[in-house]
Amino acid sequence: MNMFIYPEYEVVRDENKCIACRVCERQCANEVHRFDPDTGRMIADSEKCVNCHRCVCLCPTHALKIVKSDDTYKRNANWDNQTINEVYKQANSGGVLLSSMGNPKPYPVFWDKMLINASQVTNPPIDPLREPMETQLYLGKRTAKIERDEKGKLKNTLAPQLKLNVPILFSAMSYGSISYNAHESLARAAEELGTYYNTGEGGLHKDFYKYGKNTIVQVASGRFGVFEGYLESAAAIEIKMGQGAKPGIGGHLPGAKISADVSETRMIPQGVDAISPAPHHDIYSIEDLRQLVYSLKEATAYKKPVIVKIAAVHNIAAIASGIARSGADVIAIDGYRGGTGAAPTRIRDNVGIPIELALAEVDQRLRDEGIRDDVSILVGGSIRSSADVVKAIALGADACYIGTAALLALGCHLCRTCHAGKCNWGIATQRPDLVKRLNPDLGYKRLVNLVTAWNHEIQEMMGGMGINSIEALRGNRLMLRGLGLNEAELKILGIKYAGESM
Amino acid sequence: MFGYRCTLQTDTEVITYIIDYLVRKRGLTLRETAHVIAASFWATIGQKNETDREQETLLRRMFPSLLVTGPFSIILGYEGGLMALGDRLKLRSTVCAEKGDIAYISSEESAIRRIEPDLDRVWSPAGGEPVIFELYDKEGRAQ
Repeated sequence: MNMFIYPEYEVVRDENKCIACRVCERQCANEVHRFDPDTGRMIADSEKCVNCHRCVCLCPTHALKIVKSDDTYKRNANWDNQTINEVYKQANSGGVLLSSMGNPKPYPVFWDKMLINASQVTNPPIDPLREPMETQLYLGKRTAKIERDEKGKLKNTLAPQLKLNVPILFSAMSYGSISYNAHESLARAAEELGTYYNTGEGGLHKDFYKYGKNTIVQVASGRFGVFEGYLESAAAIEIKMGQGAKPGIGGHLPGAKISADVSETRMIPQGVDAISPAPHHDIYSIEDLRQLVYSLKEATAYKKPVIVKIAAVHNIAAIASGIARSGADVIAIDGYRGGTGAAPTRIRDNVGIPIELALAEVDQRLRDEGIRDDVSILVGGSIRSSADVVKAIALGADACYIGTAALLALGCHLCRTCHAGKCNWGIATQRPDLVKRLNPDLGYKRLVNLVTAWNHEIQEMMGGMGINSIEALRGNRLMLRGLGLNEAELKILGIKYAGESM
Repeated sequence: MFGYRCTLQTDTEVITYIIDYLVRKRGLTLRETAHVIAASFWATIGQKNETDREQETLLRRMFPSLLVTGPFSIILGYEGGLMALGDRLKLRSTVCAEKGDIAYISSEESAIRRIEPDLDRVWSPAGGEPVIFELYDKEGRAQ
């Protein structure tokens, strides 16, 4: 017996506005809408609706809206509707619940409990429209020996670094989990913005090698699509040890998403599930990690920085300290709100820690140990606005990864159903008819717009603080004050309470 | 993280320790140190000649966290010399002057004129441009 579950969201159609043009029907890959020839009207099956808003946005007469259903079980503060429904679903199927995108649970968002400083009188604010306001930075190891040539000039003894025009990069999203057109949009936007996008663990499509100087290629536990040319093509190499949405587990790309193109790029058979193991089976210690870091450096003649990406977990500071000593140039930390193309719901919603706390702990630990300049710190999961970027940098990050925000720019409406592979916006799908809905010519421009707008806002906030280099903001926690935080949280974040003076 | 403990909590104290770190511990020259503390803007560096561009870019890439962005105008005294340095945006002013073999540094020209009205030369250095007066060409280093 399958227990009937009333849909969480309902499609509401204004019959006075609907002209039965059937756009909604054609646009919905979930087959919610249907034309009824008997009545000449459109009807909707809310049970199939994932609330992606594709039909709402494309309805030419704005006749559609999606509302939260007011159907409810008897109110219960302990057993809410969703909790009960999940029990029914699991009793129906016997399976693990799957989810996509970031943890949506109402945990505290520490970004929203920190406020940014501004200058008044003693230290003047700077107007970014009148004065230079630098958001350019370099990622990588900064510690180097001072050596001079015969003329006394400094020699370049630095390890390779990545130059960024903006403190924002696009985070790892694999070809397979997202579409060709989504990848093309990200690659072209990264090129125009002077920053980087990340291939994720699915290899690099042959068409995108030309964006190599703005590409970070990922080496994950499945080693999909990894070969010499892949490493050579990129600006930097990222070893994926973990992901914020699902710390401690690997990945699973269903066979349905392994198209011919994805199969060729990943170097795996078509139509067969692609499994990434939870650990790298050659890495069981920092020493083992060091071997992979140096294998990759050796393979690329020490010309590319190596990033090690980890999920934010309980012992993050000690782990990061180990990574900083492993030869990695950059540590990327992914918070528990980070997105994913598919994760077990229980893991996504219950494992890991907030990026704000993890970042503060790691930066402080590396400073205490005197090794902060040995590595740069990248953070993601989840950075939602330019204010989050400013707060992250003031807490100690060098730059931020954005994934969900980038997908929103491409049209994603956070329906959190990526794992179904039927993304109506052409992003998290491999179905050619859906993929073509995302036009990379427009998509890349929207990404450029988003990051450009954020960068303007970052410059305004920096100017307000009287800080005209993003690198001078890094780790400047006096620029932050807490609101609604307890003592333990303030201590971990290393900030004072609003109103407290130096 | 550089092993210094600030007691006064002022920018002067921080700059003093930065200079100690870069000059004494790391072996940079005073001019190089000035290009770290009051680094030229990237746009300005881009317009410099190749050698200066390379050297200043390298310094900014090595020591980005030692850039001081607030307003300051400092005089560094050391054995055999003085260095004047103002912030890179010139939010605080620096004025230098010479009369014979006497050098003057102040934040206002009027202060210098009060001591010596008849100067050979008086000028306002650009923000971030160090002015070094030396008895011997040692750039602040002992040997």
